[in-house]
Amino acid sequence: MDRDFRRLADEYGARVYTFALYMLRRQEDAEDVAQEVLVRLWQNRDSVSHDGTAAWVMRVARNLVIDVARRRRSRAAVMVDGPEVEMAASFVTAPERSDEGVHRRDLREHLEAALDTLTEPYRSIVVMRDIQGLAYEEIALALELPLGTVKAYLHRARQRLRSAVRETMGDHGHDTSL
Amino acid sequence: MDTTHRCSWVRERIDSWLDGAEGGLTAAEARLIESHAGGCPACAAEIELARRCRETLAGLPSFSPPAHVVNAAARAARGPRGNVVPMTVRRPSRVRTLLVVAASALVVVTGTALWRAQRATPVEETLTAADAEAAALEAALALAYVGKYTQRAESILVDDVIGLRIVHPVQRAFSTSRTSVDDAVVPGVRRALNASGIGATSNPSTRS
Repeated sequence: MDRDFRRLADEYGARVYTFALYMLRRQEDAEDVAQEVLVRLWQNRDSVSHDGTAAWVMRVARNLVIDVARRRRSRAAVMVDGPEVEMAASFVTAPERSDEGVHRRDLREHLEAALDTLTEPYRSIVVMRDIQGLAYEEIALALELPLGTVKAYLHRARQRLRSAVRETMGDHGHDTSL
Repeated sequence: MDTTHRCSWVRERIDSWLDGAEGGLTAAEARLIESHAGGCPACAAEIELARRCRETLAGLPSFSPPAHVVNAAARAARGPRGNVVPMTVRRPSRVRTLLVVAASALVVVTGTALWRAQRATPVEETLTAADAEAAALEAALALAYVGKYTQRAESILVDDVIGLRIVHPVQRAFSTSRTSVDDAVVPGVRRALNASGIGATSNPSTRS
């Protein structure tokens, strides 16, 4: 059992954990989600078709993420600010020394802040597609949405992200020197 | 198409253009975007921003769950919940459906037969004098209860409904035209009440 479980964890663990981390921006919550998804995947391994496992995993992960976010809101916790966000941000922020590096880090920080302002399902779609590089078909299956709807939502989400970046970065957002 | 419309047309298609073959643009549309961006710094900057946003997001790292998370998941999966047979969606087979229908029919038929048999069997009850007395007392109380509320309802009907809402307004209407209605209307109402058995002792016109 242990070897089979490890194989499933190796195959899907990073995908689930990364998704939960970018969605929730809190390591502890992302760990809870990843653990629960892996347990459920193991329990349902016989009933989930092999081809649909990736989408199934992401669907379960997203539902759990929404549950966690809802519980967090009900506790009046702030999802965007706070020390946990700093901790999560430190995962992705490598030290940048050159001007170009600083610009890149600025854009990354502004993008992450803009991502936090996106509502569902826009946020899930951006994380799955633009950060995790999932195929449109896989996202459509995970979110149980038609393919065209996923593309339309992604288009709208990207426009909103750019608009938010432009607002917060000003001219730097349009800096074409990089 | 003027410049403003051309710009908005291009900006709506920036993401499709960046998607390449997956974006679904025709070759002509892609050429139009490229030639427009060549002469429009604002749209070129927007395309550049879109490209940089994509690169930045795509460059964000992935993370593997910490070992303690995987270990905890393995322990949980091995535990009691892990041994639960996974719930699968079962489509009801035709045989199972027929069995359910047959079982339901059997329950209905058996239940009906038992009920009829029970009704057909005479119930032999021996009533004592105390039972009869208690039953008589209950009946008397019930009648008194019904009678009390019947009287109250009758009183409300006569005083409020007929008196206040019918007779009195009609009287008022006639009195403003200086014509008395007592002789014409009230006796008719009283006759109707008497015929219905209500308000034989009450006079609406006097109560209102």
